[in-house]
Amino acid sequence: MVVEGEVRAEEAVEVFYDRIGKLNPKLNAFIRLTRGGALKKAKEVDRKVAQGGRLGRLAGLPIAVKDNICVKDVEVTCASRILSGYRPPYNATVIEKIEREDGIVIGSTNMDEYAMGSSTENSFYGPTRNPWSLDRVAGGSSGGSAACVTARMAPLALGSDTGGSIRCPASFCSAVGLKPTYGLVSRYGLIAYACSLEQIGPIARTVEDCLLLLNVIAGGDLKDSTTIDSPIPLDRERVEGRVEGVRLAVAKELFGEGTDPRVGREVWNSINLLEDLGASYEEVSIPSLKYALAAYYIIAMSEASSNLARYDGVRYGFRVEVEGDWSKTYLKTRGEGFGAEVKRRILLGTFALSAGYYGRYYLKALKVRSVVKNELLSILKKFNVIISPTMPTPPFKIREKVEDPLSMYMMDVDTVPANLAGLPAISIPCGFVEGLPVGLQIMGKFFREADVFNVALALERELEFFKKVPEVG
Amino acid sequence: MEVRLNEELVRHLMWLAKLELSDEEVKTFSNQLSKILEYFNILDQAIVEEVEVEFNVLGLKNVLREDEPEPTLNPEDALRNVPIKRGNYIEAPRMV
Repeated sequence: MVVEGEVRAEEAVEVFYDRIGKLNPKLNAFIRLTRGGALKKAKEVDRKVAQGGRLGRLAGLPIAVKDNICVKDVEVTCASRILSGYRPPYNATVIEKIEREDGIVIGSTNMDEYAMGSSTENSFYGPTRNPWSLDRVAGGSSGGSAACVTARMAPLALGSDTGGSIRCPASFCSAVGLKPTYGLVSRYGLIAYACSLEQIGPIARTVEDCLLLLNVIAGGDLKDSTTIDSPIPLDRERVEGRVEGVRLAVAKELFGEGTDPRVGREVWNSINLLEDLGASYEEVSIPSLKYALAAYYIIAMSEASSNLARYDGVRYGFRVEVEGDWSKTYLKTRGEGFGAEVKRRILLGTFALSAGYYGRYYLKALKVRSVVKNELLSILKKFNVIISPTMPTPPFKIREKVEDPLSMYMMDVDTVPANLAGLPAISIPCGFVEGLPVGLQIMGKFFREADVFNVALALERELEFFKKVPEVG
Repeated sequence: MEVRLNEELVRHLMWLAKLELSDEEVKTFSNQLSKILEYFNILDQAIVEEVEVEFNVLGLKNVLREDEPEPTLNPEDALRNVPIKRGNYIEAPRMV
């Protein structure tokens, strides 16, 4: 509508800020708004439209950005006290790409501190509430991004996914969220938690919007040496939502004993629907998946203990002044600056990497990771995609799992395999259980986002969950 | 072989990671972390002797560029967030 000149970008942005003003106090999805920058960019877009200039693919679209992605000169904190006041002197590559395509960054969204969590309760700024039921979690760690999209406070959002942090909130909030193939999207400007596992990815209301944003942010980047260009460029024409002849693998380990039977039922309804549309499925077993969660957490925590060593109050952020040497300053600054979950993971990561335990935990986890990856790839030789629930349960109540970290970790059981292997995986809404959203996960081969989007689109056309809007109240 | 994340080990890890914990936290974390570690021990059952260790899922190695200087952040921008500075130097806490 902006492109056709029917609506000015500036007006559109104001409409969204208006809605944010009304709903955000209840949801706490946004923790920072960038109104000045957004209106400036909107005016630029309007000028281009008026002058008939070349418009980018995201022209006039407001975009919410998770609080761990750097936007130049805008405070970014990873929802942590320890990075308070930090203003990056550069843009993340994904932000550069969004701006080049005339997208408009409107604010930063809430998250679990340093992306460590599955509920967005571990934030220095308080929890984000689920738009479908305010006493429930929005999922995490990209809870703010998913909640704002589903509550129509922004049409598009960026999240990051290390062990399910895009897919979990997408599932809990009834949004579409993709973790791209590892290396497809640049991590330059993503504040690191676990570098070998994480990816920035798009969250949107529909499959098509999700694909639009992915196409903009994807691509090899010289500033991130873990990226490569997709061997086959993402081609919108090939995503038609046709599943005749598509072979689906249904892994029994991903419907494990912690899975709520009502969730299982919704997912099976969709599998049967896909079969009616011409796909075929087969139940398979992937035995190494029973070790995947433990391997994921050991690797993630180990990498985190290293990545978070830089937060010492010397070059940026929160700092506690104490008498004494560096050791005392570091102890106090980090002790007061980090929240409990972050501290737990740093301690466990330090343990897993320490002399005497490194072989039994970290190295072992790396080997298990290879086994998981190889087993998944082997299944994907015979099947196009692997289908499962995204989360074993519908969204749980706020504070229900916060005192029992292990019970929270178990929520990631279906999402971590994709991070371990580096495979693309999407969560799309597939149903509701007593008014609470259920997500279905589709995992594909390396750089086969087109296959994943194809199956997702076919389902979306039948289920049309994007039509349901939560009544935030 | 049972490893207990008892309070003594937690205090040692606290020192290694430079993360000060209150006595209360040491106690709570000792319980929580022990429980988590017990779960991690499931990996003892995995048989992986012959498996190669991979540090990158795509198999990327030694991704380097030519050693040519390129424009980068100027010192002013790079130091803007530093809490305690002396000119273009970062003042760090005493080392010795």
